[in-house]
Parts: sequence; C-alpha cells; structure tokens
Amino acid sequence: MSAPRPEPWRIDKRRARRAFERAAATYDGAAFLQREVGQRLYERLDLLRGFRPVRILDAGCGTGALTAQLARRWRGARVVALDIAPAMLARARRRGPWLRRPWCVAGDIEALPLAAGSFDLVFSSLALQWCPDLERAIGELARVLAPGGLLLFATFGPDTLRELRAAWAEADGGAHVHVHGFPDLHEVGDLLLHTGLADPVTDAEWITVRYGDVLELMRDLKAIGARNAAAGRPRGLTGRGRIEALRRAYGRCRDAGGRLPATFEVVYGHAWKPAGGGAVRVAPPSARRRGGGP
Amino acid sequence: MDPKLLEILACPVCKGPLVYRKAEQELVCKADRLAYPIRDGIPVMLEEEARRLPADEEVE
Repeated sequence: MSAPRPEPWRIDKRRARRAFERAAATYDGAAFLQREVGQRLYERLDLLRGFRPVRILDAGCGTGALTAQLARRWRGARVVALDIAPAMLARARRRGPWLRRPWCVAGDIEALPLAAGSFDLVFSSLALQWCPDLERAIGELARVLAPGGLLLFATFGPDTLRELRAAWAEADGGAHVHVHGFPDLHEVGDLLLHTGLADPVTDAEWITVRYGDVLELMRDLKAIGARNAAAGRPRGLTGRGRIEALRRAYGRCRDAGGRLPATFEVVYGHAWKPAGGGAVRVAPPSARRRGGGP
Repeated sequence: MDPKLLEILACPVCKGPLVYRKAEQELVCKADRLAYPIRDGIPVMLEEEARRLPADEEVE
C-alpha cells in the first residue's frame, strides 16, 4: 500500500481544498457524523492515564470543536490547529477563552509546515481520508511527534458509503468514480509500523446514518465539503436522468421504516513514537507533566 | 506572530527554518526562495500559495 491508489481514485487536493473553503459556513450544521466520530476519538484519551501532553497538534481541525476540547483538557498545553482551508481556521481561532485559543496554521498533512519532534500528541479526526498518499501523511504526522509522543486518529474505511457506491455503479454502469476508495484497518496498521511507530493499534466500527432521500445524503456531504474530488469523477453537471437512476438504485436498500441507510466505516488508530530511538515505549518524561490540568 | 510559533514552523517543502518579515507579513524559506503569506494572522503554509522570490530579492 505504499503507492497511492490507482489514478481514477486519486484525490485532487486542490479541488478538495476549494470545497472545504466554501463549506466553512455550513460545516457545523451538517457535520453530525464528524462531531460524533471526533467525540468518540476524543474519549479514547480517557484510557491513557498519566499522559500529559504539553504540545498538541490537531491535524485537519476543521472548525476547531475538538481543538478547543483538547485545550480545555490540558490547560497548560499549547495547541496548534492545522487545516488545509484558511476559512475553517478563521472559525477555529474564535473558539474558547482568549488565552487558550489555538495557534492556527494553514497546511497540508502530506507536507506539514512543522519542525520535527514538536508535539507530544498528534490528534487527527476524519482528515486522513483526504490524503491521496496515506503513507506520506502518516510519515509526516510521525515526523513531528517527539520521542514518547502519541499519534491518535480516525479515518474512513472501505465500507464507507458502500450503498452510494453501489447505486452509482448501477446508475451509470461504473463509468465514473463517485465515491473515493478507502484503505482498510490492516493497511493502516501496516503503514503505522512502516513509519517506525511502535505498538500500533487499529480497530473499526460501522455507523449507519439514515436519510429520507439520496439527495438529502448528498446535500449533507456537500455541506461538510465532502465533494467528490477523485480524479476520475464525472465532469460537468450531473443530469436529471442520472440522478433519477441513482435514486431508483439507492431506493432498493430502503429499510423497513422506509429510510435509506448510509454506512460509514470508521477506522481508528493509535501508535507511539519510540522514545530514545528504541522500539520500546517508556513512560513520558516528567517534564511533560508540568502542564497541569486533569 | 508569536515567536514560539515561529520556532516550530518550518518550510513544508524542505522543513528548513523560516525568516519572519513583519512588514510584508511573510514567512520566507531562504533555501527554496519561497515566501509564505500570513493572511489575517494565519500563516498559509501551502507551496501553491507561496510567492517565488525573484533572483534579485535579498532576504534579510
């Protein structure tokens, strides 16, 4: 999995970035799934007792809801909010009490504008799915971790939007790419090891969101900036006839209550940067505890 | 621009250090001759948004 996925699936990042820029104002209203997954990822920090990061990176922070939570959790910590879309950061910057507002940086996870070893915790919720070269992205996140630091993230797995993918395949005979491809948890785990991180753990869960209509689902995806950015996407407007064909195809998976399920497979992962060059993780140094907080 | 933030910022291309030009609101990578803009106080550290320094432009 070291090579980027095949060409038609490749994400055109400029296009993805423009979609996020436009979505900044509507994001919070429609980002139900993003919030839910972010919360579940955040709660995983409860399992790490005695972990007191003082330098935190929220990579792909969006409008910064979780960035603010991270800053509240460890009050002495310095939090950097990074996103590819400055319009998202303009919102992230306004959250939380003035003194604890994050440093905002516009940047690309695959080419982080940050010095090596700068963070004790790198947190990333539902951002890595936009990186065409996941190995490079994880390599960058690992690079900016200090020895003993933790990478904790959530991304989408291969079952994500499987109903939409199948419905589009039926509607236009698979001529175009409508839904991005996503790596599975084994591939993600392998990448973590490849990158030189230790004790990688990955798991997946499936979340089903129900919609009344396929256009409602597509409106939601659009509102969070999740436009189709695959290089093999169809060009030009999506015609009424094709939308009708999509509706018919998707309609076949209607549940007993008449709702349309949309599956999202969420892959969670975490791994540690080995302390002192060895492969074995040691307890974080005491210097890291001066941050205070819970 | 907080000096502590400047300490951890690096050029996204070569990961080298940056020079802060306050008047221009730019962060300059001397090695790559790229100037990254600071817009509304947010450093925009994307290569495609950077200004390429002309050959005759001195840094510092």
